Formats: sequence, C-alpha cells, structure tokens
Amino acid sequence: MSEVFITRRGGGGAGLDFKIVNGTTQPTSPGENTIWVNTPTEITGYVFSATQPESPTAGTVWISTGASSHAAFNAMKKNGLWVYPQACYQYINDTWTTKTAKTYQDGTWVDWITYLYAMGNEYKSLTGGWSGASAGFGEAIGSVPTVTKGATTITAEITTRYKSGQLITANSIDLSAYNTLSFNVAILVAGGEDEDDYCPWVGVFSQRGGRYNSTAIARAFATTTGIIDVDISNVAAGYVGVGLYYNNNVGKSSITLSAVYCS
Amino acid sequence: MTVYFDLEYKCHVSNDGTMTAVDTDAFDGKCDAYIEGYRFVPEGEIWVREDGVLFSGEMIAPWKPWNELDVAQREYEREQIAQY
Repeated sequence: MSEVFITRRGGGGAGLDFKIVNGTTQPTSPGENTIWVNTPTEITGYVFSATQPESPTAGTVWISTGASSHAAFNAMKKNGLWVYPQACYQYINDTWTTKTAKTYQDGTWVDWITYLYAMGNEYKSLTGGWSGASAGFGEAIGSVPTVTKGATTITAEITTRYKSGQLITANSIDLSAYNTLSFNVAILVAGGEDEDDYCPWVGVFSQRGGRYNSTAIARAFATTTGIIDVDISNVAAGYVGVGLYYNNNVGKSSITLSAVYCS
Repeated sequence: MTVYFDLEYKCHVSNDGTMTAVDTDAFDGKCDAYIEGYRFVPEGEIWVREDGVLFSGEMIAPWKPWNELDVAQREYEREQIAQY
C-alpha cells in the first residue's frame, strides 16, 4: 500500500472527518474521530501508510495502517474512505519513535493496539513485567540473560559461550483478541557467525524457561532491526518474549527492544 | 527433519508432488498432527495473510488453534511414554 496522503497538523480540512492532536494529557473535550498522539513534540505533518515513509521531516507522524484495526474510522465527511490505524510513530532526531495513540469514538477513547512494552513502560498490570529467564536451546544450557532496562528501551544479552536464555513476560498474556504480535527491534547482535542459526527468536512461548526451541508456539527470526511481525491469529495465550543463544566469535547474543505490541 | 510446505506455507509430513521440502529442526519431537497444524515461512519469503498483513520468513506459526495442536502433542507424548 502506498502513502495515502499527507497534510498539516490539525487535519479536519474540508471533507475530512478526523483531527490529529498532540500532547501528553488526554484531551478533555474531543470530537468524534479525534486522534490523540501522546507526544510533547509538535506534529508538523502526518502520513497514513502501511509502509515507512521516505524522506520525512522532523515531527512528522506516521500512522501505520493495515486491513484491520480496533479503531477503524471513515476519514471523510461524505463518501467513504475507511482507515485502519494500527501503530503510530513520530520522526524525532532522525529516527522513527514509537508513540501511543488513541481515537475518540462513540464517547470513549479507543486504543489502537495493546502494548506489552513501549519506551520504558513494561505495562506491568498486563505483563507482570519483563525479566530474564534461564532457557535451553537445543543442547545449549540455559542461563539468565543480563537485562538492562533503559529509559526508552530494554536490552537482553548472553555473553557466555554456548549459553541461552529468554527475555520474557512474567505473565501469560491473553492473545485471543489479536492477530499480530510485533517487536520493534532497535539493536541486534546475532550470537554467532552464521546469523540464521544464531539470531534471536521473537514470539510467544508456552512457558518461561524450558528449552525455547521446544516451547515456542509462534516465532520469527530476528535478523534485522525494525519491526518484526509474528502471526498469532491462532494463539490464545502465551508468554511473550525473546530467545537468545550465544555460539561463538561475536562476543554475545543481544537484542534491544523499543516496543512490543499486539494488534 | 524434512517437512513440506504448500503454496500457503502450510506444513505437511509427506509430499504430494507439489510441495517444497525444507530441512528444519523447528518441529523436532512433534507429532504429525502438530506439524500439519503449522505454517513455515522460509527466510527470504513473505506470506500475506488474508487481511493483508505481511510476514517475512523465517517464521513459524499455527494455522490451526494451537490449543488443539497442544492436545494432540500431549497425547502423542503419553503414547510414547506408554510404549516403554
């Protein structure tokens, strides 16, 4: 899907039936289809697109769209132009930064997606928090990864050769209302020279610990930074996380996440 | 082990002549019913779900309800234990 349109902050122009606003406090008297982007940074423009926009200017908001959304809306006052927002990013300091967004519909604020981790927030009421767990991988012995919790990211790494482990939620998450699990990977170090064999796994596991190659319910290889999606349309529940294995020669297996969410 | 996937990336334990073979350890120890409830999207390929969402390989995910696959797998494991 190509870019739909770009317009200036405020939207709501002739024919448009929505408005995009920024701020760190939820608006108190919103109109129908007000989209609130939780950001202190001025929105200089916005793009609705399924793919990352090219050549953005500072402050641009990218509303990632798909074929389904909890907050679908008709963007036009007349005729129909249905939009399915899924995630929100703002271009700040030459980087697309994850932002939470909500839409005011039928008298209530509707979440677009459910975050499990975003920009330092572990959403503990849902996840129970994120922590390292000892988990084997094949014949590798489990070891608890070193977990570093930063202001905007969370990092897990294994630095002992032939060891493996997980960064994973404390709780099993009810995923029955969602179809896609997404991991926004900021930094990545595969745990060996053959990246395919030793790259981190991102996905849903049936338990914390065990052998994560056996307990993985749905997973993808994390071989690049950026957003990695996993199909969870047939997964009712599980522990969400990452599996790491360090084999040789590169010093560690490591992953840094800026966001994890369900849609 | 070798598994086979069809045009929808659904896994099969035998090839009907139209499928692609892949050597993977993703399903080691799993019974046939479990394996055949999964999709395997190889690295370098992209599966488009019916709602238009794209998934890049390598990715494995169940296309049948995982709870049903888990029941089948546990029964298989009980049968394996009972043999001994």
